[in-house]
Amino acid sequence: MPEEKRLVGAAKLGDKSAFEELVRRYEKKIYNMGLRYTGSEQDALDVCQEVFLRIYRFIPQFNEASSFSTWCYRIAVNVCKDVVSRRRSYMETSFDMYDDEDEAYELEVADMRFDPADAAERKELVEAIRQGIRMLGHDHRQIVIMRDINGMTYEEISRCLNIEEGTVKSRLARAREKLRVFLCETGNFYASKQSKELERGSR
Amino acid sequence: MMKQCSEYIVMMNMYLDDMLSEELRAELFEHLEQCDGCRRRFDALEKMLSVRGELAQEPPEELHKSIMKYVAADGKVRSKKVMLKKIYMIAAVAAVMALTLSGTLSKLNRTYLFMPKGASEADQAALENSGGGLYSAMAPPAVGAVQNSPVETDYGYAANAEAEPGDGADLNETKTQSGFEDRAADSGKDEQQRLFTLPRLQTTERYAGYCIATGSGSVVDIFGSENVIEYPELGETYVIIPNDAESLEAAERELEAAGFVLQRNLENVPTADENAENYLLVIFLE
Repeated sequence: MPEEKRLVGAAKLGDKSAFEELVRRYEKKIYNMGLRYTGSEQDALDVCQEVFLRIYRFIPQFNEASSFSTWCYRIAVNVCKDVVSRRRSYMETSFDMYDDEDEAYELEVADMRFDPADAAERKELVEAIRQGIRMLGHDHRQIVIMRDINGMTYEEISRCLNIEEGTVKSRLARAREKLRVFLCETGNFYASKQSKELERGSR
Repeated sequence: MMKQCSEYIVMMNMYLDDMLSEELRAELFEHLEQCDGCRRRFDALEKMLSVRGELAQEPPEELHKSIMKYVAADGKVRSKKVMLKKIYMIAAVAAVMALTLSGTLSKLNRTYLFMPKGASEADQAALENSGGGLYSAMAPPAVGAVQNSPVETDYGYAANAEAEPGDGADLNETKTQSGFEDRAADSGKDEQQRLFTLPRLQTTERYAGYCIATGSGSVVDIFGSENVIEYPELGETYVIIPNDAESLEAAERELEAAGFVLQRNLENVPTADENAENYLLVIFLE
């Protein structure tokens, strides 16, 4: 971290190599954020370019009230939104579920078809989850990407999105629930009825 | 006290993120033994999250180069006109703004000073000379109310005007604390009597001028997020505006239409350079 502070300080004064080092540190995470958010490699590239251009333009005014990473991800959140809203076609392929925080949890929960011990099934599950993330509404998509792909802590997410940590917890639980339901609807779980019958039969 | 399943669902997510205390873990597992639905959900979540380490993808090789190339072409990108979205309807929503000068603002450590009610023209001139060309560059309408009132000077802003931009923040803070509230009470009615500074702006880049606005609403909706940087924790937003009369006028028009108030009384802003590429607009959200 102190090294990052030094890099930020140098980049603020126009040190290009310090800026480039900051790019190296964050490009992969921003790329994945863009990729999972937009669902397209080309858009993910656009997101990266735009995020780092903004950082470059605004770093002289970066006042270090937040950490550089928080600032960086916050810019990325806005850019992702922009890129997606520019690509109208995206709307046609997405269910674009809204981020309902109050909706009740589904009562019936089916068993997952995958056994993540199996390599092929793991791969299939990864693909299904990637697809599912794209179907989430903005807030839910963003929080799942931040936590489950970029590995950000609850605290980091709360600072980045400027929301309470309690909201992070409940939103993340909701988002993963939507994801689970999506996997269920797309056949990645055993049907709920079937599992209920199995259950009854075993009694 | 009995918890609802929805609470255990949040807890199981926390557990899988390694964020649940020992005590609550025991409580969660006790519930999982009793509640079939929650146990199934937990299993599903656990399986789902067991592959999360594999969700990230290796970026294409050319990623780094393409970013650096794009950034290097910044000059070209910047010279494009800022496209201002027309959102006059926001004006209706934000037209009436009650400005309270206590509470929130002082919490944000924002430095406001008050112009003396009857600042003389000489004082105005002193301000102009100190503001790094801001007054002349922005060509604001005269602060008539201020100039025409009875003379009652020596609120210290003229002395401030001679301070270096660097130490302005400290100076202003002291002055703000002494007598700020009194003046807020008796002159709070008049927007134009507030004097704004930029205590936190530590820019290494020169701007053609600085403009401060206050109000509430979405700045991104007006200017597009590519020109805007937000600091929600400070309640400040910065906007880059190309240095040409047209863009500047358009920006002012849009801001006012959206209910923001342009603040003309500025002091201790960084030195401006009229040949610089951009203006910097600072918006204090209220």
